[in-house]
Parts: sequence; C-alpha cells; structure tokens
Amino acid sequence: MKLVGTKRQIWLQRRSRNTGRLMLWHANVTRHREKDGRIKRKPAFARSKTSVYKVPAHLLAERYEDRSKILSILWSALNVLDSSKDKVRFDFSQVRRCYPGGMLMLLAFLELLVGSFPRRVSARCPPGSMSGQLLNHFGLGAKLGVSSTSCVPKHESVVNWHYVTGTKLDGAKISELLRKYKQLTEADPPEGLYDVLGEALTNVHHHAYPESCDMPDAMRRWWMFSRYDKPEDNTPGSLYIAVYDIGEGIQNTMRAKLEAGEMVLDLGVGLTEFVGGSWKVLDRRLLEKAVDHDRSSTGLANRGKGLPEMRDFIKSTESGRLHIISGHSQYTSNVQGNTQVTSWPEKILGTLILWSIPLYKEGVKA
Amino acid sequence: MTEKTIVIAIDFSPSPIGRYRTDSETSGEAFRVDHLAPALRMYDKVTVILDGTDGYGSSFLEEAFGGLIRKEGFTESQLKNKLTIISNRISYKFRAWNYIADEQRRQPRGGYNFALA
Repeated sequence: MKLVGTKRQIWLQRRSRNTGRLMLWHANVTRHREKDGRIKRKPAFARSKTSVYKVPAHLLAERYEDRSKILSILWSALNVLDSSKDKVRFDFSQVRRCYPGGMLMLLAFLELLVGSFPRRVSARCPPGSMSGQLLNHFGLGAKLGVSSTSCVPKHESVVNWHYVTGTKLDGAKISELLRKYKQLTEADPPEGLYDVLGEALTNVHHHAYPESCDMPDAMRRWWMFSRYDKPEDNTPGSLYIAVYDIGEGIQNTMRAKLEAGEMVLDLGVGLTEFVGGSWKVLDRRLLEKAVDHDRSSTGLANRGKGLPEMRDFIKSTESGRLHIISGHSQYTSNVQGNTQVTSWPEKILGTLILWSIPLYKEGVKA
Repeated sequence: MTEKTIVIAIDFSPSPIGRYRTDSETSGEAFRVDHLAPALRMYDKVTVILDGTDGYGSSFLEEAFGGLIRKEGFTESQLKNKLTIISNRISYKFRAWNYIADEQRRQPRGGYNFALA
C-alpha cells in the first residue's frame, strides 16, 4: 500500500472539501437560474428518469415462485422501455445464487432489451460479484455498463459456465459447447446429449418462429447454456444444460391443429377467459401430449419425436431431471418416469428446456 | 456385384443436424438426397457407417432413413437386401430400421416401388 505523507493528507482533505463546496455552489446557482427562468428546464414529462429493478436473490427458473419474480421485473422493464423514454437499471446487488435456467432466461431477455433499446438499459453489480462476473463472461457486461475491471470473470463457478447463441441451426455450435465441457473433465459427455440438444434446436427452427410472426431475423434466436459442477469423491457433480427461445411456445404452435377433444377444451378456455377466469387445462394438456404422446404441431405421424427423445434421454441417466417450460405450463420428468405437468398464472416468453444430469468421477452412470 | 460404403463423419459431416435442407446443409434430407438415395440406386449393396460423428437426433435419422420409403419410393424389403447400417451405438441402428419399418406400415398397400424402375 502506498504511504501518504501528512502534508499531502491535509491537502487532499482540503481539496475534497473545496470540490464538494464547488459542486454545491454549482447546484445552487443552477437551481436559482431555473427558478428565475434564466435556464429553461425540460418539463417533467420530457425528462427521462431511470427505473431501477432489483433482480431477485435466486435466479431459478424451475420453481415457479422464483421464475415469476424474474418474469415480473422483465415484463415491467419491457413495459417501461416500450411506453416511455425512461431508462431502466437492473440491480444485481441482492443476487445470491445463479442457476442456469434462470440466468439464461434473464440474459436472453437482457440481450434483447439492450439490442432493442440501445443506451437505455444498464446493470448495477457489486464489485467482484458473481452476477457481474457472469455478465462479463457472457459478453453482456460492457453493453450494460458493468465494470470489466472490478468484475473480472475468474471464479471457478463462473468460468465453468458456457454459453452459445445463434439464429441458424448449426451442429458445430453444439459441438463447441460439448468441447468446452470436455476441456474441464476427462469424462466423455453423456451419451445422447448431442442428439437431444440437436433436437431442441431443430424444434426451435421448425416451430418457434413461424413465417407469420413479424419478428426480425436477428431476434429469431436461440440460446444454449451449460454449467459443469465437478464431481468429488463422495458427492456427484452435475451438468446443467438449458436451451431457450423467445418464440411462439410449444402449445401455441399446436393450437393450429387441435384434435376434437382439444377443440372442446379450447372452447371452455375461451369461455372461462371471457368471464374473467383463468383455466389453463388445454395449455397443460397440449404440453403433456407433445412430450408423452409424440403429438406434433404438424399432425404428421413421422414428426414430433424430439420431445419424447429428450424425456427418454433423462430416463437413461441415474438421477437426471428434465424441465420443459412453455407458455403457462411446466413439464417435469425424472428417471423413475415420474412426470408432473403443472400450469401457472405467469406466462413465460417462448420455451425453456432444462436438463440436469448427475456426473460421477468416472463420468455419467447409465 | 457393386458395393459402396458411406462414412457419414467423413463423406457428409461430423455434426449432422436437422430434418430438412432448409434447417441445415447437414440435415437428414441433404444426406438422403445427395448421398444415400443415389448410392442405393447406383450400387447393389450400400453400407452406411454412423460412427465418428457427434451424434444423431431423431429428426435426422427419421428423414434420412424413413424418407427413403416416404420420398424416394424404396420398400422395406428392398432396403433390407441392399442396405447395411453399422454403428457402435446399437440404438442408432435400431432407430434407423424402426423408422423405415414405421414408414412402410404407413404406406398405402404396403408401399410402392418406383425407385428402381
């Protein structure tokens, strides 16, 4: 540490006092001039202000309580940006734990906001914080005004996160993600992982952004995230993979070709919504059919194999788990074949698919 | 008797993905149209080696092999005589033949044959 002499200390104190006085004087002069009408101040409605959104402590997408908190701030921020000239700032100071699904959902949304509303979205991250490191690690920190020097991505649990994004279907991108995983461990990637990730991206390409949707090409995007937790002698590690798109959602694409029973349900949902109620049974039923019964949005018998393949992949691991979140509903499946389909009031934008796969010292136990 | 061996990882792509050519240039349709179907028409025996790639999603396999019946007009029995699929992962081989059998079942009157005409 550099030693500062007594004389210099006194000089520094005097300078800071004077600077403070100068700033105070300047503020007072400006205020008086505004009062006298010598400086024209913009009317209140024309001045842009900054709305601050506190990012929740747990960035977790699998649990509805946590997911709804993330969605709530994102929808509010989008609403502010879209309806006014105000700026928004995301405050990450309360964030304690980041999980792949929640982080991916947040990052994807932030990337879109930054692209759509340049210079109006920023983030505040405490120096050295995990969230700041992650934002810089994924190349979003600079766009959000996060310091690259105080939040250098170096923490082990940050550098083990990997992220790829794109608008085209490209097997090389999946290979790149798996190669990064291989650099961290000697264990091979779980058998069939490339297949299910490829299917997830193929589904995005086929269904998420139909020709009829008026989204620009640059926004017809998918994001893929992976996090690797190293296995120890006694405790298994894990590989988390998340794929996200902001497209139509599985159920919306299936609504184009409803079967007879589903049409009746659709009518019921329409009536319930008309009287102000909320009945998500069709949303839930369609998601369940898409995963468990090979029901495709095209209605063709040779299609709709991707989601069942993802479910079967999880069953082949020792204690893996699959979450598919789309629209108002969430499908959860584990190795025992237990599946749970739930529906919730808050709707997710697009589709989020999450795999958590246990890893042991010698790799994945099949 | 003429024979042809196609090693997908070398002759086509190490990262095959997608169903249609509009998805990707390394899709199941691209493989079937550019490599597999012409080879089946030209040679008496065709061997496809699936090993060496990153993997295969069901869309790729279904379009490449199921599409031989649906789009190219082969029948399952012809393919059983002409086509050999080799893979260290039994599930790929099993699924490829399953997609062929499924598609054959879906054909009216068990399928038609104009591929070799």
